[in-house]
Parts: sequence; C-alpha cells; structure tokens
Amino acid sequence: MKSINPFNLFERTKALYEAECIDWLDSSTKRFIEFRNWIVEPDRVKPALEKAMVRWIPKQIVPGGAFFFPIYDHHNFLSLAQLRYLDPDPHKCLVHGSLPDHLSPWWFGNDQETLIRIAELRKVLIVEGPSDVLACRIALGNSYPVLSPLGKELKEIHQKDLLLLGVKKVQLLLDFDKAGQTSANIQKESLPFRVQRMICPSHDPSDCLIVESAMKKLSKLLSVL
Amino acid sequence: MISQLRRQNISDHIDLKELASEIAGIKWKGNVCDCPFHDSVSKTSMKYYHNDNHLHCFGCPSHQNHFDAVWFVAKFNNWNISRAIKWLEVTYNIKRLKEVSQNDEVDDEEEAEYLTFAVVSDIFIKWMNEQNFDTDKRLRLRKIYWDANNDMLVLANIIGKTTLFKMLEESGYEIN
Repeated sequence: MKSINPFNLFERTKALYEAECIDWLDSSTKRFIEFRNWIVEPDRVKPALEKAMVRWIPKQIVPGGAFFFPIYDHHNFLSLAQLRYLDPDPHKCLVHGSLPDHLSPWWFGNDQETLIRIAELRKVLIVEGPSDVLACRIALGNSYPVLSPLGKELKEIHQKDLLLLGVKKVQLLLDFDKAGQTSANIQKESLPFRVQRMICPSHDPSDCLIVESAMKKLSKLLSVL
Repeated sequence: MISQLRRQNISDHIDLKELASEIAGIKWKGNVCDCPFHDSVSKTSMKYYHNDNHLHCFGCPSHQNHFDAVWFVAKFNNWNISRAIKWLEVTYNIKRLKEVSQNDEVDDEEEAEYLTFAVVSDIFIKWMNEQNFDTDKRLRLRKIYWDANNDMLVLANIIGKTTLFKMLEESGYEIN
C-alpha cells in the first residue's frame, strides 16, 4: 500500500485532462474497453465509468499509466484507491492518504445512489472486483445495486455494514474458478443473510463482456434480479 | 469520537519501532520483524516505514495491516482506540492536546467499562434491524456507527439505556 493521496491524484488527473482539452470519460472508456477486450458499445460503458468515477491516469502523471478505481469511505470521502497498472508491469496496488481515525469497510461501488438503493431494496449483488462491478452495471443498466468487497469474501466488517443498511438478501456472483466457488459455498452457509449463489457464465462477470454469447447469458442471469 | 489530532500527536512523539520492541518484545532485523499478530513462516512479514512512522504487515488481513502507534497498542492489548490513546499519553508523558471532542468526557465514565464495544456494537446492529427506519435515517445511523470508532457510549446513547439493558439481558448478558 503506497502513501499517495488519492484525492490529489484524482484532482491532478482532472486538471491534466482539462488542460489538454480531452474528455476524460471518452478517453477512459476507450482505454477500458481495449484493456478488458470488451465488445460492448462505448455508450453503454460510459455511464458505468462515470458513476464509479473510474478513470485512466495518463503516464504524464506520477504515478500514471494505470486505471484509477476510487474507494470511498462511509462519508463518501475518497480516502483510498486501487490503481491497476498496465504494461510494462501489470499489477494492482492500493494507495491511501492520511490514516483515517476510524475503520470502515472498503467497498468499490459504494456511491451514495447505490447505498440508497441497497437500503431501499434490502438486497445487493456482490462481485469480486471493480471490473466485475462495472460489467454487472452495464448488463443491468446501472440501476441494480452492485458492490465489490475487493476480494472473494465478505469479511465481518462488510457484513456489519450490510446489516446496518438493512440488507436481508445477498446475491453472490463470484469468479467461476475453484477459489471463487469454494468461497461462495462457504459464505452461503455462514453469512447472516439469505444468500443466493449465482454461477457466472464465463470466468468472471467482466470476461462475459468479451464474447457475445456470454454477454447474453450474463444479462439473462441478472435479469431475474 | 477520538480526536485525530491526539492520535497524530502521539505518532509524532513516539518511535513506533521502539514502542513495538518495548511492548511486544519485537526483535528487529533492520526494518523488518516477525508480525506479532499472525503466525508467519518468513518471520519478516512486518516492515517499519520511517518516513511516516508506521508499520505494515504483508501477511495480516487487508483492513488490519497498517499500524500507527495507537492501532498497534490497541490491537496488541485488545483495547479500544480510546483506551490506547489514553494509555500512550500517560505512559509516554505526551501532553494531551486541547482539541478534545465532547465524547471524551463521557468516555471516562468507568461504570460502562465492563461492556465491550463488540457487545454494544452487536446489540446496535440488532436494534437497527428491528427498527423500521427510513433510508435517510438508516444511512445517517450507519455513518454514526462507523464514526463511533470503538466508542460504545456513542452507540449506547442512541439506543437508549433502558432499551440497551433490556436487549443485553435478552441476549444473555448479566447486568449489574
């Protein structure tokens, strides 16, 4: 975990886009589609990226050459972010600003609108990573609440947060690999909610948007929500 | 709520590397050591960062692997944050800054010490689920819960003493 203030990084990126008269959303959408090899139209990806404030940090900025996935705390304050670097050394890392004086769970996708929807519907779709959140939002049309705990597991701190939001039912759509399915099986028995386990038609929700047939299957799977 | 300023003040006055040796008997190999919070094979999973005086463990769960002095003491002794701050200020003779939040006074009430935050926290969540709050109120209380930062009196005050004691008894806790 690197000590870089994500809010400053966000602002510097915004300033650079403005200075060079580049639309951050257009540019980030194009790169994200290329990065994930998605076959989806940019107009369907844009609202998901805009809602989650995911953007591409150009290499002119240090640290740059990475996608920026903001992680908001319970005050909607940008205290953390996940950076996903591409070539030459693809890797992920978390960056943080000053240490918070409180512990609250890390979610990707917990914007205010999503939290309100969760509290209203009393249910939520849980996926593993930020790209999966975006993929599900694209497939669902951005209206259904989707969250990622940034891992395969809803830890105790995440469970408490969902309970505080009044959640009664959790839908788990984890990666279709051994680790993901084992985790889903364990959580189906142990979580203090009604758990609906869903099987992803491809390796993960994000990969579903690479192939037309898998994309249709994902849309169909999620259409029952 | 615990003042961030007090916490930062402690970090500014205490060398966390020395503190870790003093309270946890940690033996350093340069700037790395065996993490006292999990069993590590390498014995070098925790690293000290001099620039901002913190410890980072590469083997602990992601929410609990970044330690400043207060969090280290709290976790090592299984205390809440408030108690760790007070202990560090007294033990290391650190002058307490004047910016103190209102709740710190309430926090001194020893009559509530026997209740742990974890118990009150569980009761609070249970209580929340029994209430038919609208979305706005639910979101507001959620913020208060995470801001409470191990200060159980914040949560206890919201639930109300009578309801809290009733729910504690129903959950099998003995109330003196």
